[in-house]
Amino acid sequence: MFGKLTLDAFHHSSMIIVFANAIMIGTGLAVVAALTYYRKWGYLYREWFTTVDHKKIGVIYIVIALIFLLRGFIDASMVRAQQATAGPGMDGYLEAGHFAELFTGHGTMMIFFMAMPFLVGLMNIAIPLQIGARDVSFPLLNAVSVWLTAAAGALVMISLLVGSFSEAGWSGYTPFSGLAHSPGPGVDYWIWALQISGISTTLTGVNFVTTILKKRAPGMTLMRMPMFTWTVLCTSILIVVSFPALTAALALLALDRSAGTHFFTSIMGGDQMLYINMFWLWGHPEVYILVLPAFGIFSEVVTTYCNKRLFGYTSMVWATMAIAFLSFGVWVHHFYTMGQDPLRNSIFGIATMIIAIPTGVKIYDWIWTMFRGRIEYKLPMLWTLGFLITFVMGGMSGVLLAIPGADYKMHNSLFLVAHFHNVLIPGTMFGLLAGFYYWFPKVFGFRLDEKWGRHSFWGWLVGFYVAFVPLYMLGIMGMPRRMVTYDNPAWHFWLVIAAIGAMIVAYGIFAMFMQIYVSWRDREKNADLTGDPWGGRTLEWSIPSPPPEYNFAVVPEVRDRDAFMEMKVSNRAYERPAAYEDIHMPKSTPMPIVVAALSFVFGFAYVWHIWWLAGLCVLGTVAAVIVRSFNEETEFVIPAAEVEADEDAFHRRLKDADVFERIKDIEEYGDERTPNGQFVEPTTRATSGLPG
Amino acid sequence: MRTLRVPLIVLLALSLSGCSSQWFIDTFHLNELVTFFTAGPIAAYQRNVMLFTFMVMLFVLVPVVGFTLWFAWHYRAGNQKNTYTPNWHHSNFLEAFLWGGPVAIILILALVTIVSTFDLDPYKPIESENDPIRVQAIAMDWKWLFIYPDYGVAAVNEMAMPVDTPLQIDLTSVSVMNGFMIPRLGSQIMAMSGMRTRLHLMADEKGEFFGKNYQYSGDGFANQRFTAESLSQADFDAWVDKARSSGRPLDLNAYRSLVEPSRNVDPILYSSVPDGLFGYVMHRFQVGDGKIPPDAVPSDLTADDVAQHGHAH
Amino acid sequence: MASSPSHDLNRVRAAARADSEVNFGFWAYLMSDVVLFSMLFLAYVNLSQRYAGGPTPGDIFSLHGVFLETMALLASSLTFGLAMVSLHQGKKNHIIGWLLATFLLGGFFLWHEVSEFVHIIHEGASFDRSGFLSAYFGLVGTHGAHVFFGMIWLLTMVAQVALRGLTPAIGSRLARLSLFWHFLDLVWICVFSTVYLPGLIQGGSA
Repeated sequence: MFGKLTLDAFHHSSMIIVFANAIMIGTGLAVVAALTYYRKWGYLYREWFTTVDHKKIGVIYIVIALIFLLRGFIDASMVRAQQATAGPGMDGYLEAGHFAELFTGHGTMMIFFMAMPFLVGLMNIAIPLQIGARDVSFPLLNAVSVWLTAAAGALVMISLLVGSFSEAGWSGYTPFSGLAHSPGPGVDYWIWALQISGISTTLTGVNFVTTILKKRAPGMTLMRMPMFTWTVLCTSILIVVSFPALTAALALLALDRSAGTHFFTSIMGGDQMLYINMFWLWGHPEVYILVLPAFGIFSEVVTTYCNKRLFGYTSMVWATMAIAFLSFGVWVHHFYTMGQDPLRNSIFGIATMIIAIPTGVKIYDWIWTMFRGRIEYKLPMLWTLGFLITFVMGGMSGVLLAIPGADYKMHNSLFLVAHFHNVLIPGTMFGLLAGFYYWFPKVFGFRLDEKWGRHSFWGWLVGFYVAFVPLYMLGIMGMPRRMVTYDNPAWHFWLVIAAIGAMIVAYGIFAMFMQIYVSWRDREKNADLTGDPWGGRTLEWSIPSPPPEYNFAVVPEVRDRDAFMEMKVSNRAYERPAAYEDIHMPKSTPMPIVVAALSFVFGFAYVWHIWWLAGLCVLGTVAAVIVRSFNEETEFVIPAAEVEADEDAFHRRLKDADVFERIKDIEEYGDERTPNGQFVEPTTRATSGLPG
Repeated sequence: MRTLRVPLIVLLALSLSGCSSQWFIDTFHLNELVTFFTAGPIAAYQRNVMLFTFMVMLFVLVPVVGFTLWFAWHYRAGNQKNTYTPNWHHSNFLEAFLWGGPVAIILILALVTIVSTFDLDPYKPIESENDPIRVQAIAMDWKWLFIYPDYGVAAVNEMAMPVDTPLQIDLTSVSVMNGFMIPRLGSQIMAMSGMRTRLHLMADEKGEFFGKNYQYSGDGFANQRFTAESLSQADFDAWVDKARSSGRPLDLNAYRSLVEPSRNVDPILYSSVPDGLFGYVMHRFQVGDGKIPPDAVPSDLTADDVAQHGHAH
Repeated sequence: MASSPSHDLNRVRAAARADSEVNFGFWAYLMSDVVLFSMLFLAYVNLSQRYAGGPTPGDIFSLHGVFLETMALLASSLTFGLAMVSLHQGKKNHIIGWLLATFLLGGFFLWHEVSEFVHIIHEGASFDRSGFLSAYFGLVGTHGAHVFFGMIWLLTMVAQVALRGLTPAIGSRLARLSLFWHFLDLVWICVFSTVYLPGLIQGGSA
């Protein structure tokens, strides 16, 4: 009846896990109680659980990401604490198995449930607004994606309570992740959490490729797309082409574990190296899936806060596409030490290094965008500077590891761990946070507090260096990754410093949540009434904050890369049509949340081999899709009068804020304000430039 | 490579003026930077590749950090005297440098990559006036078995080698994937069940070196380490004699109990080892379930040319 | 809005165009499915010689069965093409007829494939016997599962055409199902030339 699920699955020998469960259940109950007390269930169901609005879906993604940022960070801190308290004559406070669950959970959660949802959330919020669209191409599919991600996250969460999580590392190398060596439910939880979130991501990729290629406003040619849109297009193509490799690898691993097949086992003709190839065929493009949109965010941020056009747009576009293309030709560099011949290793080594060329070009393009600019040090710009300085170090250690001869020495050491954190934290995390601060006022209609934001930035930046420079040192000292205990006093010294670094990062994260609270408390004071708090250059800043459900009352006509800036310059900004038209928008539907719930139960049932329940869930999902396909009433109409009333209110706010006066005389693509907010005549500015 | 140790330490120490270099070294444990303080030609080559690459990469690091900080400060909005060119967004002259610079650097490093990768190929024998010694390493949960087929002895979690003599190490695993490395001697290579990988190493100074499995393999992973001793030829011969006279043969029964998972295993020496054991355990993974059948007899081990199978190349 | 039958038919035809927004999205999905299948082909090619002492392709493949399956699937692509021709002509009953014919041919293919699987397993050559057999069942089985879901989709579309007639939404869905069905045919050609053809040549010469 319940497959392998018995009461034993609820028994945890470690008091730490019992305590964590108590907190998890306690928080869950408190949230449920609060929602019931304040009678918010109806509101949540109508406005959030059943929504197909890309802006709300984006917010849900980011809420998921922030929850998992906390959980992933707690896991990281526990790893650091263990290694700081283990050492010569000390054993720390964790068992080896629990330690392995922590480093596996940390990697899995940070990649799949923090970085990916955060990224997809920002894509959802910004892309339709940047290309002048009213929604994504497939709003229903979009809602299915977000709730599938939530379902996958819930599987990770419930593994804490029922059974255990994988101990096989975030990459789940075979044959260790096979049934013979990992007989518990942990790897199965890992498989199905990744599988469901991977399918969700594939659907997102399909959705955004179509949205960007088919839904741009008239006049927005490919070479007029904002850089963020370009990078998201490349990332979406990478998703569509690479995630199925992960789907296949995980599906075959699941078959090995549950049906007794021999795809990746070490016996009976299975091939353990096949899994590793398939995993990294997805895994390396995944790195660029994470990092390219962050590059796009930095491009938006640099132009906005330097009040300048982006330097080398065409170079940037080609560099982005080059990175996307090359990312498929480098996967072998994850396992130079598996005994390939030197020719193959050098080819993959050089291919890896070649990626440094377009990446370097991008970095220089950002730097030259700052040149002769007028840089305002708002939060997103700070994160961008932190990124530029820190990322270049990660890139350096990356080129070092790309040389097979050097990698033979550094592979699987903490040097490697330091390297990929040094790339992913500035490259992805800083980018995501820059985007978070940049677009936050657009979504919520108020800005985030600068003071706490600065605390958060310095916490992250200083904490990063204190935490990861020691790992570089430890790698050079020959310390392997993933050690629960060790007895080298030299290692202990540096691990203690790294643990201090983690505490400083913890302060940065605390300051960020503090910042959100303080900004929400003072939301009246921080309100963004004009929809254009930063002197923006792209279309999302031409509409109110928060935008109406239909985004654009009239679909804009694009004449330049900096579409909104061009409108300001040519006095077309905020133009009103002779008459507004009715707008058709997709209706809310509970179908996505039903499908996601079924996926969650399916994953849980598969983990515990409750086959009848898993079968029912598959049937239920197929039925839900078929039932939905018979529903023809999927749209509703927003009457023209309502649109006009919204626009009237928006234009009153613009007038009250003197926006029309301010933008009247802009003649070039620069800023419209001095730092103290006063408007200066554009003619007073010098216009000389370099030859070119 | 002792000669390089002093200048390296001094270089590191000079970066903090005002403190005695010894205090600096002791506090930050710089004498433990084993990747730099090598004890063999492979590791020394690798260190040189890394240091050279690092120097070349400084041509990226310094301009990027320098320009970033300079522009960030100089073009701050508060500095009203600056030139401000909001429309300027393209320069063929600059673009040529932006693409050309990285291309040039990568060309140099690509050359380094090709040459060093072929030179450091783990399968490539090391040139030496002394004949190489064969070692067969089998990774187990959670210890290493080293077989010396030329001497008919074996050891667990301990290996010995004569100084200035190349080792030809064949590796396989009877469990999950393991990564074999002795950091002060050189490269890491994976040991995988049913397959053979090969690694060549040589020590050019005497001493005891730390060696370990670097690929996570389960609960006993952290303690799955061994000592590699580089000895004079006379001391090495004495080590072999000590093993031969230990009176503990590694027969099939002893092997079966050794394979069982165990943690924190102290070094063991074996006086004899059946011929062909290494190839046989590899072969058991290719055709069967990886286990040695209960009715196996020593003559099975040499029955076929198992060692020819499963080259991971 | 004018709603003469010819005007409606034009809207259906426009919705069925392969480059309409929603159909473009489906192409993107098909690309991801191409990658999924390439991974399974990769696995098969990699494992196809790993018999672990068990049966080889020559022992288990039969040319007769594979030939019938291939013919059925090719014919089903033809009948689906005829269904799309009927769509453009606006002939509702013809569409239903050709869709049902496609369904029957797909069903024949699947029935034949499953009975062959059962036969092979009964001979002791199950998917847990060797790496080769795992890869064989994995690749061919995934294609079969696609055909199965395609058949469910076919039935759904038959019901929709019967109940709702020719609406633009249904025309658009039929265009996507058509892409999907031809895609499965294409994959089968690759399966045939990667799995059965080398296996049979090898088996024949051995």
